[in-house]
Amino acid sequence: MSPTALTLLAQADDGSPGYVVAAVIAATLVLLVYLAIIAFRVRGAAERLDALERRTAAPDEASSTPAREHETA
Amino acid sequence: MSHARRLLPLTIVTTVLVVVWVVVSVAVAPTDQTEGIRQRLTYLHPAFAILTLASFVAGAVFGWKHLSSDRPLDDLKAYVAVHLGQVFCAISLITGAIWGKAAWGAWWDWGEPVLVTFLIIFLLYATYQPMRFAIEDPERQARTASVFAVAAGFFAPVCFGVVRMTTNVLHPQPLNDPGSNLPGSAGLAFGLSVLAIGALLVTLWHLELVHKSTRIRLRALQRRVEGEDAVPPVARSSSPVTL
Repeated sequence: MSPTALTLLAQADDGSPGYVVAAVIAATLVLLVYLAIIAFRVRGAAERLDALERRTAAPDEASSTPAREHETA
Repeated sequence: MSHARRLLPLTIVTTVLVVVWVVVSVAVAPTDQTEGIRQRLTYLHPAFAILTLASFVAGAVFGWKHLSSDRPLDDLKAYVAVHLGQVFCAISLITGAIWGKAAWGAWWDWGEPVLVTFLIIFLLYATYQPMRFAIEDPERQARTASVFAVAAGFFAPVCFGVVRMTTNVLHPQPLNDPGSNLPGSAGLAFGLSVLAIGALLVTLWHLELVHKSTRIRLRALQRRVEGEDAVPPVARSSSPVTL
């Protein structure tokens, strides 16, 4: 008796564990790449904020230095 | 800022749910006698597909809110929902193709309406960013993107649902087919997969929303301090510019 498509489908196999692992790795990788992109952008934003703070702090220091000199004199 | 405050509790809840989901899916749910370990992909792939559609619907809801209230934050919420929907859609397509190769012996089948419909939805949403950032005026850009999010967010689940209900060639329907419902702990593992990946989606949505709104506010501050000529209104990497 030749096997029908149904009996072929119903036959148990090893369950292709390699493909299951591949699917889990693929899903994890896509999510990790997404998180890495977010992490790099957060770092970029933090660097821009640092630069902005330095730039805004520089005029303040410049304007406060003569005042301190005046106080010590 | 309320979104930033929710990030830590959300992360903790998501971590717990993901751990429980993985443990139940790997160690508690029984191995299918016919499909073997391959059947466990039921606890991974369908949840991503369901939450892809949920994310696109959320994009439509926020897009609708933006069109009625004109609040830029609603546009940003819609943008992030659509973006995460695209990421989840890619994961659904990849894991589905891998499952197809293991179960059917083919990565893809153009004769299977469920697969092709999902690809069409993916390609439809792939036009969101190019369409959006082709418009320079930020307010027009946000309004047009919201119209797209509403129309596509309505189209995607309706189209997929109708195709799923009417025509089905190869794609299994574990929740609909009589006699193939997931029993006991298998059903629990499936429910947990939707819950855990749903929590992950909400947490990532909050993370990206906080990150993007911080960048927008930082750019606005930079433009105020350094002058509008020194800092361009739009970053090199495109993203909504008003908040």
